[in-house]
Amino acid sequence: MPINSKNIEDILIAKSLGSLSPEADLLLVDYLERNPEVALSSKQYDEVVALAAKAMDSKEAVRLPAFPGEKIRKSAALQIWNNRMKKVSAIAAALVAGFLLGLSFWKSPSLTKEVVDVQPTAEEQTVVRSEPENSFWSGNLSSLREAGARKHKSSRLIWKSFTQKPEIGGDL
Amino acid sequence: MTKEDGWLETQYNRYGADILRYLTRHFSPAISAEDLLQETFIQAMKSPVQTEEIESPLAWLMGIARNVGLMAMRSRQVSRPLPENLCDTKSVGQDPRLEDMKRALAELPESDREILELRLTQRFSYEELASVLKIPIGTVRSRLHYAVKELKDRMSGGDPCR
Repeated sequence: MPINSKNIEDILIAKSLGSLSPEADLLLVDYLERNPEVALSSKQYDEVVALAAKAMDSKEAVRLPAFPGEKIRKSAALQIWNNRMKKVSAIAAALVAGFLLGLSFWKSPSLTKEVVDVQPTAEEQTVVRSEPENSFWSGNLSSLREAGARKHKSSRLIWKSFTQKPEIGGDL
Repeated sequence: MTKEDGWLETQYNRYGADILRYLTRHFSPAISAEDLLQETFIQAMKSPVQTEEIESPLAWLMGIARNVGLMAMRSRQVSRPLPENLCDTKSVGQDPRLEDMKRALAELPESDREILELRLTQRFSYEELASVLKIPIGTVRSRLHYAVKELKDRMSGGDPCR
């Protein structure tokens, strides 16, 4: 990214915070050489950040307490126990729910009702039943076969001469 | 490696003082920094994050410490005090510019002062700052830039105490 008057301040601040990439740093050095008036601003930013770091840097000695290992272990163990109890409770709840659900289905009248043998009505009885001796074919197919046979009943043709149309005679 | 294998104790010995200093500066005397430090490591132990996933243990622990501190402040309904070292601006024999800077820092918004402090004292990268403060990297950059610019303006604008 080229350095210009619009982004120079951001770049100077980034430099003072030590977050400028080496490539951008080289570009900045080149820019500052060509623009010495900006170099003063750069120095000011560096000083401000250095001073702020000094003002905030409080390396006062703190007394670090001993590592609270026992308390941490107890707390972790308690958490593991809680997690296990949650899982056990969830399984128990699922079992109870399943049992109650099963019980409600078991008592449901839709499942315990006797199956009643309903006799077909007169209209329903018109359905052609399959013949017991020819049970391979369905009743409907058998009736179709019978109807077809009646329709295409073979007849005798009587030829009186080869130039005349034949006459239809009796059954074969 | 699991956190039970002494990993947390190692981190405690390595970074405990830095975290305690941060907690003391931002939450004491309203809340005991030692209590917050202990709670920080309890929360770290409870965390499901595996040690292999942690790139910067200090940043990770600092994020937990900050969270623990803020939650304690919220539950006790107290506000964050001004960092102690920024209050004693009348120290004898100090650089007057340093005193001015402390005043200027004290006048910064808490969020900007905190992010600047973490950057300058702990040397956190922008990514680590984003993870500690749970804000986007763009916000980290803009807050830092605003804070530095504000400090420069205050320092070069004569009396920083208005």
